[in-house]
Amino acid sequence: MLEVSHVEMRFGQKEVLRGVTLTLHQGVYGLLGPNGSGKTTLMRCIAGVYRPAAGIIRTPERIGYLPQRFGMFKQLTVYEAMAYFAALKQIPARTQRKAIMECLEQVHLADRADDRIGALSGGMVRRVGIAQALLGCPELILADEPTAGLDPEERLRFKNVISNLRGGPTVVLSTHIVEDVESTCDHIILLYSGKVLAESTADDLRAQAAGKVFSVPADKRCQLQQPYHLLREEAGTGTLRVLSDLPQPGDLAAPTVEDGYMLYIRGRM
Amino acid sequence: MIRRLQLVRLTFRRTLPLFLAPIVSAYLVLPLITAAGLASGNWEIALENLIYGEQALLPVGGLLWAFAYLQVWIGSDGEETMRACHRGKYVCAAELLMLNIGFTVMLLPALAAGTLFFGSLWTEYARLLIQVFFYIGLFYFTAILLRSVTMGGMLVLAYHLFCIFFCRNTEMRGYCLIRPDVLAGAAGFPYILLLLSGSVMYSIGAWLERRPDRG
Ligand SMILES: Nc1ncnc2c1ncn2[C@@H]1O[C@H](COP(=O)(O)OP(=O)(O)O)[C@@H](O)[C@H]1O
Ligand SMILES: [Mg+2]
Repeated sequence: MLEVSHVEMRFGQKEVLRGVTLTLHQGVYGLLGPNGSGKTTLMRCIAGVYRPAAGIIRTPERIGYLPQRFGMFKQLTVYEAMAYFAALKQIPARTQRKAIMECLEQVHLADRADDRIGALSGGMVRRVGIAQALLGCPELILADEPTAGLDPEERLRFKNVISNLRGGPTVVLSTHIVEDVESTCDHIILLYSGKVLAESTADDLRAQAAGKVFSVPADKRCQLQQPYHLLREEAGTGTLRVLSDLPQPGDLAAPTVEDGYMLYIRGRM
Repeated sequence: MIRRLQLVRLTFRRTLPLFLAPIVSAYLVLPLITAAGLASGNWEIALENLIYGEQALLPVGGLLWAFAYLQVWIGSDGEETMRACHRGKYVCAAELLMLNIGFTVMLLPALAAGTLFFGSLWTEYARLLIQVFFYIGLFYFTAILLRSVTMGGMLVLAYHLFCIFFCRNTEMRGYCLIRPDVLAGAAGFPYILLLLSGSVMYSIGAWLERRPDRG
């Protein structure tokens, strides 16, 4: 369980977190928000990397943290880097090897255990980051933009790793990509400009957008009624996908999580 | 309990040259320059060579050990992740004190050998250890303060070079921690002051390190 209560954080004059309050239980949470909304700052506050200017954060004892930019001392091998984290996480020497290899297997890096960190590709280093976050059976896992820099196959594997954690720890994934949270997260927290806009679910976000998404043929563009928000223009057909409270010249489209997300964010733009 | 020895061991395994530098200095370079003095047939010169060489080389060796350990922690790629393991509460001071102890032990055989040739070198041994303790404390404090091991290391090294150049200068020698004539009974080495200021710097360093508002 994780409790965040009225957390504020500023850098100089800039307020980055403005009274964030959250209570998270077991399950997978997606922290969703555009770039610059304060996701990384919030994750760092929870992980103890930053001390918030105000507010209280209660976390479990054992946490696993994957920062947005994970790196490790390049001279160490993958196994040694993991052993370093094992020593920090107070994993007894007897069980260390087994624990490390299990985590490396989950990210398919067991065969690279003896390679230097400096010799790995960016995606592999990222996977070492995921492995170290899983080390020591944490009760809370924080992963900041975990899928950034992973190729499609690695992304899928990561989603499987998260699915396998279901029923165990509290997991918080931060991302600006709606697709990432859609399939993996039980709960979605919308963060915008340092504030929590909504605590929701994928179904709920979809439901919010129902009846507000239109598919408008390109030639009816000038018949659109203000106010509306253009979500995108389909390549090829030139059909416009439009979000609006008013009826528009076109068919209603099946709402997606992204539409629900835009509905919230658009209201603030 | 954090397995501190494992942290130190893993660090040194991949920075072996830094780890070996003071050992090679103590067990290869110093015997050689001492032997060069002995070859001239003059024991006084041999002893002087040994003392001066030891004072110039070994404190830098101690500094390198601390550098090897702290470079994994301060301003490194892995810093954020490592600090999160203890929610920002871990500090390096304990490992640095362990390095001080390791340094002390590492030099014991050299001390024994030196004593065999030249008589008691205990006072010089104690002086050296206090100097190393002070250097590592100063390095820790400045590296944390400046958020850079390179800057912190350069600062201490610059001071050490100053000492090497000016230790025979009558006006400046008061500011130097190198006393090539220490065995000739040149008194006035500020033991207590160095121990105290060293301890203060470890404490402030640890305090600064625990304030997790790294930007
Ligand atoms: N160390 C810092 N110093 C100054 N400003 C910062 C710092 N870290 C983040 N910010 C600012 O805080 C805001 C939120 O940043 P961040 O938490 O990284 O957002 P996100 O992860 O959601 O993209 C941004 O406007 C960024 O410029
Ligand atoms: Mg971010």
